Amino acid sequence: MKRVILFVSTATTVALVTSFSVSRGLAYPAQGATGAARIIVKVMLSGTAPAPTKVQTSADPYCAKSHQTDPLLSQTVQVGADGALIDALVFVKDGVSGSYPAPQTPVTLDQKGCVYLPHVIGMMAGQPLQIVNSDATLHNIHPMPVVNAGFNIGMPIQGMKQNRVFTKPEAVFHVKCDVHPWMSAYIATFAHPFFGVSDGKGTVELANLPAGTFQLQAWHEKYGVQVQSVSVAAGEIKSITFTFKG
Amino acid sequence: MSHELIKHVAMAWMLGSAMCIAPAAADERAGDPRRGAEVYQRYCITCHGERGAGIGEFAAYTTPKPRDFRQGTFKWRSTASGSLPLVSDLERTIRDGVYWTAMPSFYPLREQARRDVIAYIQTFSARWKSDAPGLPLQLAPEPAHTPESVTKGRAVYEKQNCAQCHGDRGTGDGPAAKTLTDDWGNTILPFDLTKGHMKGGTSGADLYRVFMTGLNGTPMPSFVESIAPDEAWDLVHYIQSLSGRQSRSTQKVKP
Repeated sequence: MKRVILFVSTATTVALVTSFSVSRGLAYPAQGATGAARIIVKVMLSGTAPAPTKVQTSADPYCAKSHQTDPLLSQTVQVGADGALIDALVFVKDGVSGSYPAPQTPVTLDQKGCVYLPHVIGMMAGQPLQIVNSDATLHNIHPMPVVNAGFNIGMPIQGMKQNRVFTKPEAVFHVKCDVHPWMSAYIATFAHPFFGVSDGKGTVELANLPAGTFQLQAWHEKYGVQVQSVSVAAGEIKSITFTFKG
Repeated sequence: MSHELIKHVAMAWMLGSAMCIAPAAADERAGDPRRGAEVYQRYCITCHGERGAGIGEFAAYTTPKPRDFRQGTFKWRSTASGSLPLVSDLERTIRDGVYWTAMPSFYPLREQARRDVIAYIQTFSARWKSDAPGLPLQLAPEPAHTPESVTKGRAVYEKQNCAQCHGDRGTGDGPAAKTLTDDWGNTILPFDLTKGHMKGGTSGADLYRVFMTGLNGTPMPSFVESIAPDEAWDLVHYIQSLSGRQSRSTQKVKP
């Protein structure tokens, strides 16, 4: 049975590859490995966190009204208890290969109260992004990728939703709303599922990793990038910390 | 469709196949990039620069800046937001120029020369090799330009919140107008819709295309997701009423 499968898959591969250059070598990257190892990443900010800055929303009465009692604070630096740095993107930069299927469950980017929720998104290339406008005002969603195709869509109607897909892996790129210049989000697309954005405790869990040595990168909008090399054995659970200087 | 027309379409299709090009792409052929390079060096290089980066000798004296061709980002398109334009879109821009800017009309050039230079411009961005422009927007036939249509168009203008940038009266002074920047970080102003002559062409169809597909590289988004085709023509008529202009096509409509 195995031989038959092998034969069929080889025949299909050969048939499909003929139209391409033979020198490309492997036509299909092998399926990427997974496992039961986990890396628990904690992202911290040392020193004093900058005081949160208030965002001026008066240009749009709807936005101003949404934040009448609860002023809108800049999302650039958000710090939780004990210096936990929120909204840092942590991902495996090196150490995994092969292809991983992109989930078809969309990641949601909401425009709510004239702010993007969430502020930082990690997603797989090929995974749908559902963009929602929960506000009764015009937002234009204007991502500016370099590798992927960008777009700029007006979303004037409350409750409007649309799905978009970034097909290629790409490092962090900016998303802006031209109508409300304070609105800002960041998206990165990956060829694998080993990434996450730090939560209120500054934590990211990278699960289902195979055994191996990985280059982990932590990215923060203001504090830049840090890299660490981490090795895990099969099924091992390891904790590491990234500390950015405030 | 008349039999005569079907015959013509079939002929064009067969001719197209015989010449190894896509049948529907009969007017989508770019020309010869080598000849286009000569055209470019004679007419385009002073503003768009030797390498197509939009930094030619005269670029410093122009607002807005000449297009940087290296990203494959173009404003005047019939294709979806973020997509490459069709060759016919570029041909239209080169032929008619961009009013209110330093981009002149190259109507006196032969059409072949314009297509040649398009082929050359396509060598500046790798996107022309990796991406397809996608399908062009299909325009519904334009209904009559009536006062009712203008009134309905005003409602579309309000519902879509155009005033946020273009202002309540269309004069380009909406609350968001002062903070707009283009994708290169340059300050950019919303168009004053009362000026009359639009930048992207004089016809209603030109205007329709602008708000339905957006202007890549600028804050102007595509509203194709929120404006229905009949609403789009009402909006065209309303915007035209702001300057007392009508599109050429409706001027022919008998009351």
